[in-house]
Amino acid sequence: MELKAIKKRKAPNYPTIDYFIENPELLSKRIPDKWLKNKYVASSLATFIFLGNPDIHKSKDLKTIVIVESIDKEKKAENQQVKQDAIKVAPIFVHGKGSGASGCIVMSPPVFISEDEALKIILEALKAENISFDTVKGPVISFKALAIADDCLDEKNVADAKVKIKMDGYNAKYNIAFEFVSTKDFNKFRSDSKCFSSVQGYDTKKAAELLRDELKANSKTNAVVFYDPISHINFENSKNWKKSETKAKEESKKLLLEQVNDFIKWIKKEHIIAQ
Amino acid sequence: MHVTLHLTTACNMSCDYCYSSPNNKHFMSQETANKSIDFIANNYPSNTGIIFFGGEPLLMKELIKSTISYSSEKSGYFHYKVTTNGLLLDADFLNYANKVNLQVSISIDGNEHAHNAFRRYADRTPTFEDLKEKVDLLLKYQPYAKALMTVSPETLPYYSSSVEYLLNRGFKYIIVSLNYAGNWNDKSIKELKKQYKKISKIYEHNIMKEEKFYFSPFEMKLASHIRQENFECYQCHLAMEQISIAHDGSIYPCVQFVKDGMSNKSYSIGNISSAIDEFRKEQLYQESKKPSAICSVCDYNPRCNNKCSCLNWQLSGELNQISPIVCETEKILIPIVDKLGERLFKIGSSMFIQKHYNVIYPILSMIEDMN
Repeated sequence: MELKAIKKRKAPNYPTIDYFIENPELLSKRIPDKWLKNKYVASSLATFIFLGNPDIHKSKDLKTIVIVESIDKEKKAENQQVKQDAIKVAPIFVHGKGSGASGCIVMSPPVFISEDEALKIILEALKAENISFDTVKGPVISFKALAIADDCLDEKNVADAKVKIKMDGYNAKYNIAFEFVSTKDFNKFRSDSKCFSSVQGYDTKKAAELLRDELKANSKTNAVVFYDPISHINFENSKNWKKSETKAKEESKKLLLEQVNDFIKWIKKEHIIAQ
Repeated sequence: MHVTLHLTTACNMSCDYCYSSPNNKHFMSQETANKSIDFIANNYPSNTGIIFFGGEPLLMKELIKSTISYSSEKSGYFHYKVTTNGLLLDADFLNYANKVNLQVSISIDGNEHAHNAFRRYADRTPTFEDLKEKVDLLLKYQPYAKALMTVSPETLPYYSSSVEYLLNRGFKYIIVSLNYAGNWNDKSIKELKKQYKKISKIYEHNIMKEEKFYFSPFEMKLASHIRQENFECYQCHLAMEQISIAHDGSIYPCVQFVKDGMSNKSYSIGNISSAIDEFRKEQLYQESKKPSAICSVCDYNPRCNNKCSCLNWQLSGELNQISPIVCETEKILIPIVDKLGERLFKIGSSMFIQKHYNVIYPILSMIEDMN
């Protein structure tokens, strides 16, 4: 026996993981029957399909797709809803997917921004434009919405969520309110029904869209909704967990600031404040 | 991070292939164990696996319990594992293990022929018969316990039948180490090839039945192609993602370097009472990563077990130098596994696709195990 290098070996004829990252629908078409018969695995799998393969975040085209989706939804909502000419509600400024799952051994665990961290970013950016907000007197909005991101597959468990939100800030001069949808707020968009899942899914962007639709129909103030971008820790490429976690959080903060900067451009364009 | 605590060099068995023959019996004190936990809590508080190892660690059951208890008072998140020959397992300990989420892995070489060939008491009495009831007990308490199987040239003819035996006994996770230090020759290489082919049929059959079956040599080689550059995460990063703490508190970069805890101090990278010698650690790491001339021109290099520094060191004396026997066995394994992957993908096996291409498979698998 001696050391001998293998040269010009034919590449294996089964794909690498990139093939499934580029074609995620192929994964959802190949579910073992055994898993579908196990309600716990099935419900967790449903959460995964709902949230998407975490590696999809690597896709460069994702941002564009999400923005197009958001614009389409906005146009549909505009056609269906009563026009409130005097009141302007900003579209969702899409920066970050706003979804993730925690629990068990999640391969790319999400990192969340706390309410306090988010308020600091939002208030500082707006203050630079000479817009100050009262964080105590925000308007309260109550409405019903079909619960989202329920962990159960069973449709009978999906019910209306009764959402009551006190908006995070209000500026009387421009009659404008803002809300940051944190993961804590997201829980208000869940149904009360009990169902077990070891994986806890979040979709703050979806919740922000529902809230924005409600504001568009009924808000008495100009309004904007921001959401937690929920960046993910890239576990596989990292040797240092803490460093990766910090990096992911910084990424989230950067994405939130981009949402706020888009909003500032929007209020100037809409002449809510002087350009 | 994984930290292995070498509780003792003593053992109630005397296996012929053991790399740590217990001539000198040393035992870790409670004080050293507590200091080890302090060291872990201070340096690696987040999601660290603490592994109790020996010799035979169940000779020190009380130390395991008190150490876990002590660690639970520390801030941080730890999970626990113990690697045992199984002979001292009993219902009381397994009850305790389940309470504190201590995962028990058992060393069993397969069927009676394979197991008894090397795994014996000091008086040469075989241990298989005594182990049978312990296996049943373990799988009753921990149905997804790992079987740790060592395959030697002498036991190769029983390799595939041993895998079948372990599957039939109820093991779902089989981790295999080849005893590279054994008497390998051309005949045994041929036999290994024959056995891998047989096992690939067993693997295919189980995957097609959507049965849970983890067979480490195949999983690693499939991952080495499927995960491409991310496969590096699965490979050895000497002292970066794991360390071993000997009975006296000396720190080593990997389990095999500890030996009897006394005679291999030149590979120690520090002590729990002081700190890790970062210079020495980095020196060993860099040495382990030096490219080998022959490997760097080999197409199998990215997928090869030549990154296992402790294995290289044991067999060639160099951290970065693969031995001919490892080279030979890797060249047998990779094409057989690739053919298996090609077959399962062509058939469109749902379990194969989920297991290897769904990044949250480990979570789904764990949920399945729990329910």
